[in-house]
Amino acid sequence: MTTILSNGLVIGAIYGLVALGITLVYKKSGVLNFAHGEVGMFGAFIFYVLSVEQHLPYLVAAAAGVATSAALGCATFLLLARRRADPLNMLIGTLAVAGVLIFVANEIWGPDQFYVPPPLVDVRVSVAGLTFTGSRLLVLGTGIVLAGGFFVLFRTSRMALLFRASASDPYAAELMGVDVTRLDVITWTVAGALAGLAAVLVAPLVGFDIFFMTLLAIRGFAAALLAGLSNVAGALGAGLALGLAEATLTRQTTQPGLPEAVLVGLIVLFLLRPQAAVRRTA
Amino acid sequence: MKDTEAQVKPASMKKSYVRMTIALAIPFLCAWRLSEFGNTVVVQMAIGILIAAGLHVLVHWAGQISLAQVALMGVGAFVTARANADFAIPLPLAIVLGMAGAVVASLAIGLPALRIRGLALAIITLAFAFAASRWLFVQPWLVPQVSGIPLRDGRLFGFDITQSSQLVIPIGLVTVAVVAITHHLGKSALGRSLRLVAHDEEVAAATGISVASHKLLAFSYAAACAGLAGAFTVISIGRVGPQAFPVGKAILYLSAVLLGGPGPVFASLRAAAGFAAFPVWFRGLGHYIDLVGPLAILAVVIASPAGLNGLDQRLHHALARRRHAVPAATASGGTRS
Repeated sequence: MTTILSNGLVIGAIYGLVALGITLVYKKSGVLNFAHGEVGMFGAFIFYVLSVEQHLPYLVAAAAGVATSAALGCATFLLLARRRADPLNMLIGTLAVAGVLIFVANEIWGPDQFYVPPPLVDVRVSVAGLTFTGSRLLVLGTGIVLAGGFFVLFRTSRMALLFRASASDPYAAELMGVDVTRLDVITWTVAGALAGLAAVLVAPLVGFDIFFMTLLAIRGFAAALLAGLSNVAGALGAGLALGLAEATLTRQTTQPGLPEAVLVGLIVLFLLRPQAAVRRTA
Repeated sequence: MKDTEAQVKPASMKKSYVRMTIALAIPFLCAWRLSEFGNTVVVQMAIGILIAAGLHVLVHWAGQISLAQVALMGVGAFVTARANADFAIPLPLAIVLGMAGAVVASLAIGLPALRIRGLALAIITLAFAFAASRWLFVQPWLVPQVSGIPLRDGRLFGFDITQSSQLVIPIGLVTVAVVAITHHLGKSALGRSLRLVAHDEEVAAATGISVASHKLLAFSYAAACAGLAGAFTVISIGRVGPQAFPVGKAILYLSAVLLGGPGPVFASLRAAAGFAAFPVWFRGLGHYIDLVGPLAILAVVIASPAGLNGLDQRLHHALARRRHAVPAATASGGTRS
């Protein structure tokens, strides 16, 4: 039971981290960024190249990976910025960007699996009877700190006020002197960095390939949706709930694909009963 | 006024008869003129057209979105194959059962669509597609053999479906019929009601239109088209497994329909047929072919958000301006050197 709980929390934190970036972009631009996973995947591969092939320190390689994803997130927005008034066109544009990134990654790294040695291997921490290795605790801790950080940021900072104003009515915000485009660029860059961070943290826990973030992004979308697509702190909560549900199901059944089927059931249930989802905006 | 109508109607009717005759002749011309490879390409294009026809109705006329059409295509394929292979049901009836199976499965998406719309619906349908590919299509009661289900019958409407030159005829004729029905739907009162539901649900409800039934109808029509495309996929391959219906293909078809843009259905059909034929015809490009689709989508999204229909309109207006520019110049006394 404790194994299921600790596994579920770590998996859930990963989903929550992915959902955080998706929610941020949706909250600001009203767009579902289907390239979110691929942007993160690119960062993970840069991290791999610098860490394993170039033997750079872990933190330097991780920072470079996150920065690459941030730049790609920003580039995605700039490429599609002309169509930002039409979320459906933007959505299709992000699908195309995802296709291009997958193609380029396949050209460079191919379809093989890659491995990165996990950090903090000697660290083992027990919290409330649950044991976490250092790298797993890093994922969980980062998720909680970031969700908490965004929660506080959205309630206290002037930047968040401008963010909310421009998301609510970009035209009025622009008339009041808010640089809406700049805020969009910042949002997409931060979301890209979050995707990169999630990918860099997950990569050492699993063997990864060019599609590993695509599958994670689907769960991230589910978590973001459960949190009402506008609640950054709730996104982590929904991610944790999904992770725990999946860990329990995976343990209970040997039938392939059942967790995915239950995931769909959960999403439909929450959509049919929206009051059950985490709707409060943070 | 009546005289004008009387003069115009026969000409337009004559035009539509000519178009219909040409469309119906295409499958026979393909079978007679093209090689086996060419006919295979035409069959792939027909399958793409069928999916796009239903998806165009759903996306552009009913204002819904679905990334689950390829999963529904899979349902249609497996129900058709099982009905024919394991229950010895004749192939035409098995195809109808396949379409019915896809329609029933589509209600799993259509019912949530009554409560939600837009981007949330995109996620629901994507989740359904993933669940189908990873769970539904590996269930032994639907796909008993991992390698796929082989068909029992070798003939459809009297044509030998093991020969691509004969297979192209029934598939081509059915595709022409579906395109004609879809085109007619767009111009009918039902099509106008669908567009009103997409434009403003409250106004539609106020005018007495049942929003829920119209949405479900659009989902059912798109699913029936997808089921038919799935049935033709299994007929054209002879044996079909779960790997024939990857989630990525659904994204490709949705992109094709969005590339077509709102308006007449033919632009979406052109895009879908192009997407189906391009990788086969331009095999020389090797794996770079995978880059063409995303780049084409990006180009259209950035340059013409109204899709190919928008490009057509712009081209039409540009030509009209050019046509009118010459008499204007002549009338103002200008001479051409």
